[in-house]
Amino acid sequence: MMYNNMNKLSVYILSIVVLLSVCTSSCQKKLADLYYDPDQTVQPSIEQMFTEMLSNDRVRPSYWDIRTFVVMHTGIYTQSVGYLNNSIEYQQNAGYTQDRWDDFYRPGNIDGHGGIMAHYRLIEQLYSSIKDDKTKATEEVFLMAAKVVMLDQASQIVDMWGDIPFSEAGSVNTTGDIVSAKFDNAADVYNSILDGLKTASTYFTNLQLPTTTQVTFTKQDILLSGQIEKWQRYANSIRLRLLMRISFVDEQRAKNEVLNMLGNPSVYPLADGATAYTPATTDILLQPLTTHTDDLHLALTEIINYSAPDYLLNTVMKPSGDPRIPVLFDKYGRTVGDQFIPNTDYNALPVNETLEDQQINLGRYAIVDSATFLFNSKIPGIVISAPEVNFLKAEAYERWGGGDAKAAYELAVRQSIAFYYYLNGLNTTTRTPLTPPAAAAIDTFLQNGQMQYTGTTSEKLAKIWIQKWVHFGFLQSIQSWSEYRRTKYPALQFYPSTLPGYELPPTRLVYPASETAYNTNYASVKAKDLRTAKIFWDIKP
Amino acid sequence: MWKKGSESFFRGCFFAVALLIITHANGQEALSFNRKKAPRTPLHTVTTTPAADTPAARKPLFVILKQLNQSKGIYFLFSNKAFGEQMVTPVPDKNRPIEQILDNLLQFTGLKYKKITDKAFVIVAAGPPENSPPPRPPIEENKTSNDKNVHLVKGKITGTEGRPLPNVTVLVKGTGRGTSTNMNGDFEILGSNGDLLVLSSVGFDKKEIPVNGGGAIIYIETQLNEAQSVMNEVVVTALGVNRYSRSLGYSLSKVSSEEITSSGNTNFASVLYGRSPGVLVNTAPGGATSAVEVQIRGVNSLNFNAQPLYVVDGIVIRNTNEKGITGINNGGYWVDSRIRGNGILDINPADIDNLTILKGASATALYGSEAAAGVVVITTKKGAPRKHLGVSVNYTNTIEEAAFLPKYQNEYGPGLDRATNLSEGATEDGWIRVDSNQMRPNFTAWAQFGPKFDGRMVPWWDGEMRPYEAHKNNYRQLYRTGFNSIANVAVSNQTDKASYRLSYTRNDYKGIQLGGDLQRNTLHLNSNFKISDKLNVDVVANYVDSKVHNRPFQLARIIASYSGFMSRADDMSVILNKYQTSDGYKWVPFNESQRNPAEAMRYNVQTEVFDFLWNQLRNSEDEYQDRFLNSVTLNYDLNKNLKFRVRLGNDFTSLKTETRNYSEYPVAFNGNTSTGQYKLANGRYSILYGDGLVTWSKKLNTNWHVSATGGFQSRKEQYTDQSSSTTDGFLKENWFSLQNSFHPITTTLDRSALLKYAFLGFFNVSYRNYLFLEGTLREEYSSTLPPGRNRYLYPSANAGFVFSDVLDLPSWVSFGKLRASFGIVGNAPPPYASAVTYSQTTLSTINGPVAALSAQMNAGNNDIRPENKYEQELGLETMLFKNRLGFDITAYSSRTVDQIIQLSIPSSSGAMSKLVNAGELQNTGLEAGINAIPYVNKKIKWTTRLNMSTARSKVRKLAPGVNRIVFYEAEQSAIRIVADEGETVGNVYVYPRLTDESGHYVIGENGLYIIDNTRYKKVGNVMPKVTGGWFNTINWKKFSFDCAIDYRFGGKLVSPPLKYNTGAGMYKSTLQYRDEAHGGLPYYINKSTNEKVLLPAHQSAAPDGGEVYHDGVILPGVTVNGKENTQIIDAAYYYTNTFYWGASAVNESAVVDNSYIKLREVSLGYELPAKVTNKLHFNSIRVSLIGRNLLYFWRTLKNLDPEATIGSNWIRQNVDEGSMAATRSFGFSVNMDF
Repeated sequence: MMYNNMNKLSVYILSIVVLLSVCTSSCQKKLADLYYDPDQTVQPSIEQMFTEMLSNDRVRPSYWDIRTFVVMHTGIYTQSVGYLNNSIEYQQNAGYTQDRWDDFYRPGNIDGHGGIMAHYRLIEQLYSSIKDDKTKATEEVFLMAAKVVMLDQASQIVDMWGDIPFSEAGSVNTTGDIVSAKFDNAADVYNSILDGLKTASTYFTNLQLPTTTQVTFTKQDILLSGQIEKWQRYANSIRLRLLMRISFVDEQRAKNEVLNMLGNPSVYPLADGATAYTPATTDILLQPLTTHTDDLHLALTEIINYSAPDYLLNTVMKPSGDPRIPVLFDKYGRTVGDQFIPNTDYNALPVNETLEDQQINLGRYAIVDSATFLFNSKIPGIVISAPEVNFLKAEAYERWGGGDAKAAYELAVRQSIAFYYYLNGLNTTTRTPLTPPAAAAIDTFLQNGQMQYTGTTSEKLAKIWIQKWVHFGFLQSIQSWSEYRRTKYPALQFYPSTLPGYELPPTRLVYPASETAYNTNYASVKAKDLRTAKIFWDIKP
Repeated sequence: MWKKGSESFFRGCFFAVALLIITHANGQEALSFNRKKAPRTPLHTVTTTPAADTPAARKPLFVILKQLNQSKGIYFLFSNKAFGEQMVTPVPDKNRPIEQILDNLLQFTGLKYKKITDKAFVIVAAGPPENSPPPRPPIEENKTSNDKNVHLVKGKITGTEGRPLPNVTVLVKGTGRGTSTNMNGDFEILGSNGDLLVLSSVGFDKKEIPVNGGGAIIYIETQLNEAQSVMNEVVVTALGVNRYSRSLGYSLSKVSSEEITSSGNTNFASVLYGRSPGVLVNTAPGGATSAVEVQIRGVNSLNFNAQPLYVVDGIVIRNTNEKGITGINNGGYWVDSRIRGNGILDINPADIDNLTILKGASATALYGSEAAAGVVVITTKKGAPRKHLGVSVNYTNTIEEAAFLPKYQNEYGPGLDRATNLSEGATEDGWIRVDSNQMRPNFTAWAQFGPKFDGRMVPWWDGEMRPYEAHKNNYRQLYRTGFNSIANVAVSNQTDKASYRLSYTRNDYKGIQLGGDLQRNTLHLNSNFKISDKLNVDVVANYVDSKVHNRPFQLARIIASYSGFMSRADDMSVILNKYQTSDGYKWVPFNESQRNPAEAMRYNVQTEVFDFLWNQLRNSEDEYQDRFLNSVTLNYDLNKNLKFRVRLGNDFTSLKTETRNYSEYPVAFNGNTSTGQYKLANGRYSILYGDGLVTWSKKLNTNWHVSATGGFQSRKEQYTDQSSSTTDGFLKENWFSLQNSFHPITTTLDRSALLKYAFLGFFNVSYRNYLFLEGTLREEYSSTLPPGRNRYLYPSANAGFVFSDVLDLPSWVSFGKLRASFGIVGNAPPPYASAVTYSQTTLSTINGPVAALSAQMNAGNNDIRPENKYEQELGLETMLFKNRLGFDITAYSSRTVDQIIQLSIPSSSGAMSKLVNAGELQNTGLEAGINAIPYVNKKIKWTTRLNMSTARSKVRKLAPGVNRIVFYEAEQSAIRIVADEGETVGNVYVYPRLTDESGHYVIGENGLYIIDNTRYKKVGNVMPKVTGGWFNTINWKKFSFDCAIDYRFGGKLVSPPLKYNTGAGMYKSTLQYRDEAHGGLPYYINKSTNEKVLLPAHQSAAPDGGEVYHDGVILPGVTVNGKENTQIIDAAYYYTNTFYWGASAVNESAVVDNSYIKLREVSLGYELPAKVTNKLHFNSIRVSLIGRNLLYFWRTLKNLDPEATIGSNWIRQNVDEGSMAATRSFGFSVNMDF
């Protein structure tokens, strides 16, 4: 009996042990399989991360960027959008500016939202880990193109915040260590950017890629579809922009390098459309995804930013009979009872009226054009455009000689007109595109007293800067804000707010909470972290 | 009750039984001790009750009488069919007269017989003992001392209520002989006159009775008194192992089914407030659909798995796991604007038999990972032994209403400070001129410093003329009177071979927030099948089907946002009329009047309340959930010493969420997008659980009892969420179909899975039933850890020592026990949190489809190690003064090493956070409970229990590179909740007001405080200092009164909305300074200098004849130059700027003390007298009046409910960002048994 029991027992135990061991060995493999999310990959790729860097909803005019950043911050600071005079109008929205900052640095979990710096660091690391020299050589184009994109975007972060984490930024994805990146001096960052752009430009000069690499590059490059030469123009144009930006603080360097660039167009080709200008091919534009259907009507209407800005329409465009008015604005009208009473003329929302008056009379003011802006889902992201390049050239020629400033100025204005008619023409769904004005009409326009390139140097420069500001509009509000702060043109008036400490727009953005809270190096910049502090290139009184 | 001889009683309920006369019985067999069958004790009951043997084999009365009928031709009738099922011991000598046989047979059955004729007997109940004392055998007085004849002692032991007591140990003192009682409380043992029988049973006082009598059989009938202590009850511990609480070496709390159901809660967790020391409960506002979070023993994990593990009938169930890292409602309004529920809400309180809370590491070590935050073990009700089919019906209905609303001021309407009013185009007072003779209120003003309400008629935003007056209840009108109805029917029964309980519960709930409701059906079956003597199967099945319509919204946009603050001037009836147009479109803003010129708003308004009503009343989000919770447990007793148990169970949920958003305006106004949405989301959540245990136990001798168990446990969880929705609105208005999508439909898929398994073992040793030792070991494997390092080991040990059994203590010490335990439990990160991976997206570009690859926003870490919690615990339990007073004190301390945390990092480092092993957390705490029966007499009994606990979590060490962990950040970093090395977790820091050397506030030129943003000042800690509860039960005759009070002392609540609302002049408290009556200073404005000049009195005139104002404030402090501040500012300017959003305001005002004493539950019950219930054919009927969340005896927060917070992590539970009002309920319940 006892023996039997023991026997039975050992059978039980044995079978359990067998069962467990079978389970364990299969379980071990299962454990490893389940460690990874089946919807994610563990294999990084330089090419695909490069594409991720390009697909940027801060470059494309996305609902989120326009609604939370442009019309609440830079658009107001430059009066590129109409806005109501709320008492909190000039106070920075901490969450949304944090978001803008984050989109540069960290990967987003939604496409188009970020990680320029993080992905650039990953690309750098992957590139340096390539052992094979040949592969390394072919992959270099991705690294260089990625670098141009990163530097371009980094310059905008400097323009808004000043000193930023740069040289040590983005390390968590590569080293895995939690190191708070130090804040690099803004001027130093600019130097690195300028040097980097020059290196990239040199690299792209006459670059021939092996066919297979070229095919991959053409596919993954959703910005310029693999046109090497255009990458070079892109790098040079941004470099020109940034050199002009520092031209008041370091005029000698700016002058030397700019004149060198402008004097050697074959070495330093620019996206200037000097011979022929077609926005779609000349400009560096990030086309929307082909599946993109959204437009900006909610972004501009939700907090009432669709009204025509005062200075832009009333002071600059209307008096000169600007031919861009029909593609920039609609006259609009108001509803009284069941009646829609259309406005007879283009009138902008007065910037100095009280909130109440602005609200009551909203219908009496023109609004941004519904075909060009409100219901246009095809607006590309403007990286840099020929009109801007030519305005920059005009300024350089005007200040330092070396070329025909007037010609550059007039070319820029003509290109800008073409550009906005191009944008208008992209919308084929809500309205028939307007016909661009005839060359003669534009000539007349350029002879208009307000437009005519005459007067003292400072008057001419003012015209260049004001027209550049017109060209930027709200689609390039960060550039617009930077140039406004650098040049102090146009001379905008702001309705003072009653909120203590926030009476007028800031001259820079204050750092987001992620840095003030978690970056141990924040202490080094804390004293400068004021909304009234100035970026290093902002020295003009 | 029927009366003896009452003929009427027999009518209709008799069973005639044909009986046969029995043949000769074998007397010898009956006399011998039958050791064939051991009574079935719960498997894995590793107690040290002496081995229990049954007395002689019993048979149902029916069977024996049938034999008598066959042998003697006598007929027997049963007054109640169930009597036939009574187990009785056959009478050995069947040749005795039938009366004697029956006497013997029915000796301890509570039955007797009535002779009708010589050949017919009726078996009837014996009536109450006091009426007819049970027949006792005559005691022979003259026993000689040499009478050492061995007698058969037959006895019956009952409890105080006459219930037979099984498993009572009967020992003949001084001998090794012993036995125990059977299911009917009967025992048989051999004894001699003069012997002392020692009767003992857990939960009862020990009793000694002498054997005294003559004849072959000595009959003894006695009662045992229930011990007034919980020390001796059987409790369910880890892995469903039953143990006597006296043997435990760690602290554990048990909550009974009465406590859970007494006041009509829709979930069991809300009952736990203050009931168990060390358990902190947080019920999100919103009622039955809102999550209930439980925190055991302080902060266990800095950001993951703060919730305990819930185990129902042995199966680990889903609570919040499907939400992975993010948890529920932790992301604020924009991440999820509705107040969500969690998995434990589906566990029906009416089906819970008892609930045990395992707190310390030693108690939970067998569950390993995820038990670091404690374990709640729930056992559902089983079929109870009954005389016949038991049916019970319970019904609860309560009225739900909004409670503890803010104290709003009702004197001033919308408007800002004078300067801003003017700047916005209003008058100084805040009126807006409509035309030359009409003024209207400023409907978009976010603050309430406008004109005083005076009842005048003004143009309203809807185009009508309306009185300008305060609508005191307009905020309350966002709520309604809801109800909660719970109906439950349960049938249960038990037979020889099987037992079952089947219950159905219907819960209808209408919450207090406009719009939402809940319907839930719960079907629960708990059954047991005795397949053979050795094999026993438990089958538990649960089906829960629920529909939730429009879960409550967080009202953050209305009560915590400048674009949403509701003025008291707003008339809810107008708003309710206008949030949708007459043709069912969304309200039309003033600047979109072309959409509906007639119904468009005339003026701009605060829009959030309209959007809220549109979403909650017009749109719908319906959740349909089917959940199955099943388990099968096989118990196999190989022999007396070796037992097997195998358990398999699952928790499966199928969830369908259907969203219908209506078209907001006619499609004619569509541009590139339209409005409306139809969305269908499907979730499939499954947990498959299995375990197997082998237990070997042996009583070595009278002193030692040992047992050892080995086993395996595994769990696989899979979560899939899939949704499809229309994109950018509808093509055709309000056709809710994916076919109607404006743009191609959007689909998403989210899935996750995890596998955990473990090998485990534990042993128990006990010595003489007063010294107990337990050791456990668990080796666990988890798929959420990096391959190669996904295995970890947890040991634990605990000991209990019942010193009162050993030491010679004063007689007033009834019971005393010391406990000590040590254990390690670990925790792994949630699935996929640590893996370093990349997300691929396919972009449709100008180059065709292109793949883009993105790194992760929250960086993983393939080097992550599991975190381990080392916890030790010491405890003392005592019962004093014959169990009138008891103490239970536990002190614990734990260290969590390698704390896994999703560390927030500056985004400039390339991610928002990184998963790291960030350091060491130390928890210490004290838990104490006092039980007492302060007063008891025959009619009244008052029992009371007071609990208190403290818990302190401290960061001992942080990982290199981390010097501070910031958990929460608000107001432009002006408020932070942090953990610093060496400091308590949860310290709150703010930018303080600038002070000079002597501590005076420095006032700026604008007359406001200057905020010093160069340093942080600690203003407190969010963790409560002491929490607990006080519970009282008073029984008086048939009445019983229960009242549960709980309290929280210390700890801060961070509530930026309180600051905003103060700044917006919403509260009564902000009336201060506004006018003469409220302490405002008189002044005038010097027209030439534009300076405010103080006037000596309110009656004084301004020297320049200008207006005199009465709302002046001079803040106490010094100017920048060190002079006393004399700058006058107006009250509105003071409030709007001092309590505004952001870092330049006084942020101490958003960090407030949160202490309270709350009357949580009250119930007054009445048990209908038996006379009445019997007439109605019920066993018992009980009616109760119940109330929950009735009032605060005291609270520090005046304008916010102390329990307004939502979210499943500890930080969110201490941060308010605007949720909704609390719910107060009162109603009745009826419990009927038949």
